[in-house]
Amino acid sequence: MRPSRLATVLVCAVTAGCLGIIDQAPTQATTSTDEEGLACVGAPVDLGATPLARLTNFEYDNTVRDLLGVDLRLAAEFTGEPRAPGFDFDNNATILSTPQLLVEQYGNAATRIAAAAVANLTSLLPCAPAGAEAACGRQFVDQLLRRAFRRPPMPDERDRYRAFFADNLAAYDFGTSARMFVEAVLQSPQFLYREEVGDVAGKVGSAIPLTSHELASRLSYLLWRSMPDAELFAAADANLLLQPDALASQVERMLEDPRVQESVDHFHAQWLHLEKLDRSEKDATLHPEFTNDLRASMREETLRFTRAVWQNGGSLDELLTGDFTFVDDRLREHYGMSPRNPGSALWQRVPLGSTSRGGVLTQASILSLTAHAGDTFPTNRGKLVREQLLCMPMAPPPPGVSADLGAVPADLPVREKLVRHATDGSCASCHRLMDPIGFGFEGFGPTGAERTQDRWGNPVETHGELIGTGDIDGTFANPKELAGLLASSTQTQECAVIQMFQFGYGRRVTRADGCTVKSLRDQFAASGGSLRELVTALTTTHAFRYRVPVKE
Amino acid sequence: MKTRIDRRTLLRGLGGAAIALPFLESMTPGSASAQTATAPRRVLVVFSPSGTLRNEWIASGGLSDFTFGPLLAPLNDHKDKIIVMQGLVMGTIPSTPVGDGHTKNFGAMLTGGRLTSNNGAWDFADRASFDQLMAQDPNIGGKTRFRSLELSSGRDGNDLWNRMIYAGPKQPVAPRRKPDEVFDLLFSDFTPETGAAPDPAAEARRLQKRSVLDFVGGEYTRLKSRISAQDHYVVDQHFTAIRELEQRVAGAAEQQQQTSSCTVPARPATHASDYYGSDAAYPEMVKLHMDLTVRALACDLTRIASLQLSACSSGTRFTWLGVTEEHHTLSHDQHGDPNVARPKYRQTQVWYAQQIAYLLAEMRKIDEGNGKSLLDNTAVLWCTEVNHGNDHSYHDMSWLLAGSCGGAFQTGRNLQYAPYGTNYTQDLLTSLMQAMGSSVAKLGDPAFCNGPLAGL
Repeated sequence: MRPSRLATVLVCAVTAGCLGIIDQAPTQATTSTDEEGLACVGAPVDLGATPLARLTNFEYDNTVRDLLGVDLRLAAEFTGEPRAPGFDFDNNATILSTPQLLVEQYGNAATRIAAAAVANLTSLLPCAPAGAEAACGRQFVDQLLRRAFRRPPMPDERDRYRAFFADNLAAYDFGTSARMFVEAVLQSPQFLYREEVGDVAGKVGSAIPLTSHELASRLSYLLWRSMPDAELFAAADANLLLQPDALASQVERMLEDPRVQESVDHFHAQWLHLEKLDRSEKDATLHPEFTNDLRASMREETLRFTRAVWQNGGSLDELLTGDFTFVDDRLREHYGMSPRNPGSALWQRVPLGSTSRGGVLTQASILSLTAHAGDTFPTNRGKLVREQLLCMPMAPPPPGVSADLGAVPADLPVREKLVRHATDGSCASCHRLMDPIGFGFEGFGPTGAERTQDRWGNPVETHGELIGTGDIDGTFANPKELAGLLASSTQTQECAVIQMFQFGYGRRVTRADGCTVKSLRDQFAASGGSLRELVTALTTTHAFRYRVPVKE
Repeated sequence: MKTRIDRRTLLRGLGGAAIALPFLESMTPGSASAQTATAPRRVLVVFSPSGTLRNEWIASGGLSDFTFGPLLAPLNDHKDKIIVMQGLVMGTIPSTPVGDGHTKNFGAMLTGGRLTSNNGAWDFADRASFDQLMAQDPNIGGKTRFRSLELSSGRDGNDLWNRMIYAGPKQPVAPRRKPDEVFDLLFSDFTPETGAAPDPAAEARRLQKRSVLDFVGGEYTRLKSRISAQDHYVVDQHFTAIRELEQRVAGAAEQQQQTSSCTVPARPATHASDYYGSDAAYPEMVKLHMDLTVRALACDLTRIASLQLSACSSGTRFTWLGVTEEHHTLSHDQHGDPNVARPKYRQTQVWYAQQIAYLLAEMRKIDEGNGKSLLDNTAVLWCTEVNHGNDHSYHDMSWLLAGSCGGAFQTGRNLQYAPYGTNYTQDLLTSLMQAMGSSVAKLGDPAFCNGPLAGL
């Protein structure tokens, strides 16, 4: 590859060859011209299609808790939601399918949850069944359906459930009938799926406004990953949510509710691949420090940090560069910090000051989950930055390419070990986009501990380079400089918008969402890059309040 | 003396409600294997990840006079029951638009199709896998209480690295993992044919459950009329799954008749959820999954089964062998010097062959009459998604069959096909389907299937 052509080739590589996903988002350079052609004014604009969503396992558990007061968290053991590269969240409705096993698990969970719920029949019922079983049954049906379906039941629907209850009551006692009814509700499509029909009569262009109750559901699953509470329900009943001001005041209220924290944790854990930490194991001889307990502390550190950033306004800049973190005793030891003052709380916020750490990328969690069992793996560390923070998915090695690095002595410094990645053209076109970013973290070992030498005794170097980013190309001396560059990049901000869009709306960004993304990006920029404001912005778009017609 | 529910009992159980019962056909007697003269044929797929070392499978020899190389040596005792196949081509790989060297092949391996592209994003494969086509066939899967049984022993994820079985286009089948739950599924209401009446409380509970499922199924039918065509298939799958469950609950009254070879195993222990998928648990998981599958086949609870020993591109560390590197990394000779990685990789491959040997030995222990064992009546397909791990090759697959599937195949042979040729893995899968009585002429994309495998 001739040096003079390198820049051009790399830009092409970023937009085509190395991108695992070609048509993902309107943020890539290739689509900027399309975007200029969009007339993102007037209402409502073109929207991407919203596929039918099912409660995620996390949402199922939360919803059961809020609906019935039963907090067994059985769905944590359900078979997982479908995942595909380029979409890191559990709610990707674009690729939804229904495995037989999941339906069995819904059935078994419904049995256990319904039994637990009717064990407290008195608190479950809105009435006393004694002497008035039929009437109380009807009342119970009406009340539970409304909350379980997150909207008033349609008359024929309600009658069907009432008849089911009445039929059972003819054969069984009231408790059994109630249990069977709850079991049915928990397996019903109206509970498990978030069906949206919209107000078809109010159609504007090709977009249909959602009903007040559908908006309430979108709000509560976006902000809480659970069903609406009584106040939100009341606002929906009064048809208030169609007014942007009323909707905004609900958002404001809901953002102050502790339940929002679960959703925010869920976002960060998936965005930053924290789930991989649970599956990450290290060579026990080389890294005896990497115990389950330390791993749990690492995860907790990152969640405490992201929460603190969120509560401080949710600045993306602070997330990437914040000069503080949270440590317990295990992390203090791991990081080589002074012991905690006797009598003080286990978890302490500590300044990082002049250490080599700063921001979430230098926390032990992310440094560990991107490393091999016994060695660092700069490619993987660079890949996380590239894919999660710059939204540039890296394509796998092309078919037929040997991943063999050649006969490389094990004790070479990693930069030399990976030299084929940089010199062999077929490898370099993509690896140059990852490895030189990962090299910046070489000051941290496979479990994220600071180091000056690698496991073979070679001194480590922490300089690296960004290529093909659009606006932050160039070298950096250490991970702090890298974080600063990332925080200043338009590409990083656009990526945060894409990530939040996908998490918030539960579907892939498509070209049809160009105007929505543009509007979110403008609002995100105007807020100085606040993820918290970005979540609020998600609730103000046409994409949030409208959908494309259901019938095609 | 089997206990059977009649229609009137059922209606009483439903409180006399006039509810349409779509599954009355399931109340007719099932076909119990012992009642037929010959034992049924079965197919069992066993998958192990990331290929092999192509030169260490076969040491020497021709069609019938051959010796196993070091990686197959643990199977020496079963050589007479084995057909080795080398050089088969996975034809759809070069024209698969998305995926990496493992996922691309994994999605094609049992489907004869391709991963799909969702606006450029990788998505699940475009058609059903051969085993599910048989499971869905009323004359194959429909003959047993469970149409099929899918188990996965390693870490799980609902993604392209973990799904090889498909019920239809973009419908990956989620495998089961926890041995105790698999036991409960298969055997919790499997009572020996002692003539004892079923527990009345359990019987009532079963009727209630069936009534709930029947009602819920109706709700899915109603939902279908309200949603868009694209969403239809998700709801359809859900409806089908509910119906399947309902049939299974109904079928519980129709105990499969036990043969002398069918015995109920001990219930496996229950563990905390972080046990499953851990390296430490792996050998035990593999053994329990094999044991449960053998029992399920012996009891004719299903005739179609698969054991996915791990994800493709697996991160398993064979710590019990003293190997601490991830399996996939070893398959690429990484960690510097290949002379260091290669012996460790070889160890893992030998370990897999030992597990297969254990499985075959267990199957041979089960006598199904006429001088035939369970293994003789089964086709065990041991497959992997790439041939040579290091270069993700797809044009010279090393796969192996054990058992003759009730005499359909002549075992004890070493079949060598030309790499880059036109004998496809799809041909082999077609042969297995036809041996099972399927009418499918060509599995998967017909451009890469000649029909049954030549020479098999």
